[in-house]
Amino acid sequence: MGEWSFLGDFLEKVHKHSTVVGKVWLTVLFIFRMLVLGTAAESSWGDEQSDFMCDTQQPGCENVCYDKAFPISHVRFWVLQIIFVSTPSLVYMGHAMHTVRMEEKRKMKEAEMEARENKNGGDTYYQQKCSVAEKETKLSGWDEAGGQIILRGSLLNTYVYSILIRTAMEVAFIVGQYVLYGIFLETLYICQRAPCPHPVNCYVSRPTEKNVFIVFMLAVAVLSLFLSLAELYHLGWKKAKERCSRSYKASPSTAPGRLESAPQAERAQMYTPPPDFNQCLSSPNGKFISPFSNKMASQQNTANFATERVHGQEDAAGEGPFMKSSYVESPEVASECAAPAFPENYFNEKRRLSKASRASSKARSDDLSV
Amino acid sequence: MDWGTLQGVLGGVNKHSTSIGKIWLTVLFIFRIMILVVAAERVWGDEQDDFVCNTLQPGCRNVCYDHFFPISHIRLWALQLIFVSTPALLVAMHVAYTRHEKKRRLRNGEKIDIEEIKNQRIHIRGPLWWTYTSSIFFRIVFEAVFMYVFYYMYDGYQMPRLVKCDAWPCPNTVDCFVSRPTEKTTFTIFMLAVSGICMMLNLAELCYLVIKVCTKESRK
Repeated sequence: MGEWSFLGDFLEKVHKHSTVVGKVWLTVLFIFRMLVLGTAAESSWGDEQSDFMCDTQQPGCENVCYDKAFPISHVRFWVLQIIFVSTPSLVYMGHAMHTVRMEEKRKMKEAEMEARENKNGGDTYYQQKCSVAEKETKLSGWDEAGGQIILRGSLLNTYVYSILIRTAMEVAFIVGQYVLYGIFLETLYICQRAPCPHPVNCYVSRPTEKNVFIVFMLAVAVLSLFLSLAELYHLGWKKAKERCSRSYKASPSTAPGRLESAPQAERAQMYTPPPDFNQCLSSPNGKFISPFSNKMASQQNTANFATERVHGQEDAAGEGPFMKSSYVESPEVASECAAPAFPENYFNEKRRLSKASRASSKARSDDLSV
Repeated sequence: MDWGTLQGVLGGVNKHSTSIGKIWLTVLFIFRIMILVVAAERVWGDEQDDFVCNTLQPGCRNVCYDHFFPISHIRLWALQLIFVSTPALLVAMHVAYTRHEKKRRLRNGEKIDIEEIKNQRIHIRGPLWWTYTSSIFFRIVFEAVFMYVFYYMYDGYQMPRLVKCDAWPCPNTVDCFVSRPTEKTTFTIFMLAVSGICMMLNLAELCYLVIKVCTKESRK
């Protein structure tokens, strides 16, 4: 296996930044393909030419018949298959490393900027808040806590393309093997080629043992193909689910049952701020909602906290332990950074939830007038 | 052949390369060195044992093999890979020299952090730029030279199945049969294609470096 260490080292790095299914695929590659090839299959095919016997005394006939029977040996074919199937993962890893480096550069620049701001003094509080909000709302590719790369945007696209190409390569090599050799190796090969004087019987060395390995490697290739397809399905399904849930949130339909859902998911980006007076004036329907009437405010705040928890839970649903695949759109940062970051449909939900919590959104006599 | 030592040396250079340089290094290790070690050496392993000539004349087979394969493909590829990797050592030496200079300044009393010197990623500027660019230029030259040598020595890139040999002591023109010609042709073309890709990467890197310097100059 020492000879495979060049590829092995690269693939170890890919292993860190893959999804769960990706890790399983890599493990299958390492153990069932590379290891088996390096240890067992090589020795089985070791004497393939020296023990390829032809029933002839004609010099050169055995050489040409062997060449005709095996244009490329199974072992070399599998080596090329492993290399070509691993290559897309290397491309993805290159992109991931590039993303990490860009992220590190960005952080260094921000740290420099903050240091400069602190030096200049002045109104640093809001500026810091601003940069914090910008940091949190930017689509960063690096999760500090987990040390993992988050699959988003172009990185996710690269990952999906790499899996697609990998699948295509796998199919191509399986079909190629079938076209070249069929599935099983026959003991007897009848050869008619110059300088053989007539059709000559040639006998392949160790056909049964070779057949066992051929079937094994074919099965592992098919398994790898299924794993790649499963990974594609998993990623595609998640993306579709996200799109559906986003369009579901946008439409004002009620979902009272959701409010009771318990577990707290961490939302680095979202937090429920206290309602600001200014925001009341900009409600989209033109209706006046006073957040300062006690009953409504407390009811709606509770409702909104629950909603935020639900958002977090939805996004976290279905994530494997190794990969955070989130499909997040950056919420709009308000022009004055002092204003808290509201989710887009905050007011729609408020109205929706107010129906559910049976609070009236009509203007009341004791509401503050503008 | 111990390619691990080469990997150790070139791995150090990798830190100070451009992105294209890193891609080139990956291609070199996976598609060339690994294929050479894992696959190609086995294919060419029995090339003389299974070189069969249609004659009983002792010594004729030896002489004919020597005439048609003055230097085996495997050894030629090994030489090519060594020559192509060597210019990167120039860059490694330059970087080591720069670090040594910094350490010397530290010893002379200037306040520079040792850890910073060890871990710092040195940017490709100034004299290092010249070293780096000339190393890429030599890489391209070596690749091209070896590709031509292959073409000249073996009359193209295809391995013939039958060669006709009339070197002494063969009594007349003798048919000799090469072992595994199709497989050898496949790998020759594969290695040629990867050499071509590496050359394209080197050209791209050269253009990138030149353009970077030109834009910097124009901004000044």
